Amino acid sequence: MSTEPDEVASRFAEFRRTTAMSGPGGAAVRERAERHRRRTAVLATALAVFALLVTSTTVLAQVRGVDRITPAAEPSPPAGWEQTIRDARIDLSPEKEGNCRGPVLRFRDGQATTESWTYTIEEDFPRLTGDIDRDGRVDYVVSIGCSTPQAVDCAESEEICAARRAAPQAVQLFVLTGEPDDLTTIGGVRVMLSDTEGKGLRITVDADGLIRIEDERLPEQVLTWGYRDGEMQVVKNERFTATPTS
Amino acid sequence: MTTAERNFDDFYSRHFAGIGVQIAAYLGNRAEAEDITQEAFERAWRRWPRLSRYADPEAWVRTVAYRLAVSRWRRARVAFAYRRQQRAEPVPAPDAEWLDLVAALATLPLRQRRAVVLHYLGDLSVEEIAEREGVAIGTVKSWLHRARGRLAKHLAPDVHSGPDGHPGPDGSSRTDREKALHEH
Repeated sequence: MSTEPDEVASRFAEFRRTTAMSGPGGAAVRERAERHRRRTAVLATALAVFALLVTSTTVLAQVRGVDRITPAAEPSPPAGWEQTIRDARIDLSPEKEGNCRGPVLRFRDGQATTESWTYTIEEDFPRLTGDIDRDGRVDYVVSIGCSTPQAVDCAESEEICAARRAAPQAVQLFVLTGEPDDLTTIGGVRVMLSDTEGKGLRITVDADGLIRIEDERLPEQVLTWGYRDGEMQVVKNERFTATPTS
Repeated sequence: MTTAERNFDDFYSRHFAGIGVQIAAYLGNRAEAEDITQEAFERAWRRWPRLSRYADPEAWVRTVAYRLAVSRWRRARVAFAYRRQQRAEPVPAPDAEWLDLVAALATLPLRQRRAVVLHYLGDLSVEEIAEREGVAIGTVKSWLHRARGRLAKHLAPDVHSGPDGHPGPDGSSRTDREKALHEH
């Protein structure tokens, strides 16, 4: 009588035997790598010239005392992306967790609707960029909220709206990849707010593509999210205890 | 041809098929697996002066290939860019048993799927998988145990099988299993 592991092992052995993989050969690999190297060299030269121009502009701005926030991660997003995404095609279907899951959406002026939901690109929360999935291209971190058409109008029912405002709020950040007018999510980051308007919230993306979430009303806890194994995960959960001062 | 080129070509011919078949099982798509494996070997050639001195350069290429496979967006870009450069090679149509196994693998969580592919097609031991994945040996054993159970259930002989469309013992038809494969 065969055991379960034997049956599985034999199926894999048969799979290995019948799956022919040969590839075009080592010479083709080397030739393609050389083409890629030549393209990269041309691009590197162009970028070096551009970097020289940007550096001189940045130095002048710092001399003038401009408080400039620069993205920690390379490469840089295209100019005007924050406006472009408000009219973008955004595919939310890969994200299976969280409150505002959705299909492929076409946004117009920051909103998209389906039969059951209205999706909104939230303006009140940070919109950030960075190479989150480490593929050398810029990704976008954007908060997208959702509501039903039956959502209560606060002018009609202040009691319900007051209760909703008092309840813990969650923000759904989507990590989006692609071009600003055509994006696909690679995962979501969920943030619980200590205050309903998220005024104490600080979200940053570092040079390693990690998303760090701090709340000044909860200084003892810092969450760091990263892209691992094809999904967004909490990679660090730091809890700080107060140090006695006496 | 230089010594480095000869060594690399030899490395490629010895390991391409082994890594490619793992990615094919992991992704459930043979053509895409070939593209990704080719991309991984291209990256290896770019680093060959250093990589050739590693104790196990094959492990490096395998890790890169799995990472490429995980990135959905990159998968589409690699296939498109690669196919522009190469003459189309005919890929044999997958047979029913091939489809059954990849459809069964598609039902596993990513880490269980990777562990079982590394074990049965990559010939890695439990200890090697644990080290690679950064987890305890017991965790890998648990993944393999659960994965084998689910695979065995999905791959059990279909005593009621007939023409396509007739349901198997788990209630899913062959059409459902192919659909599960494409939804991955």
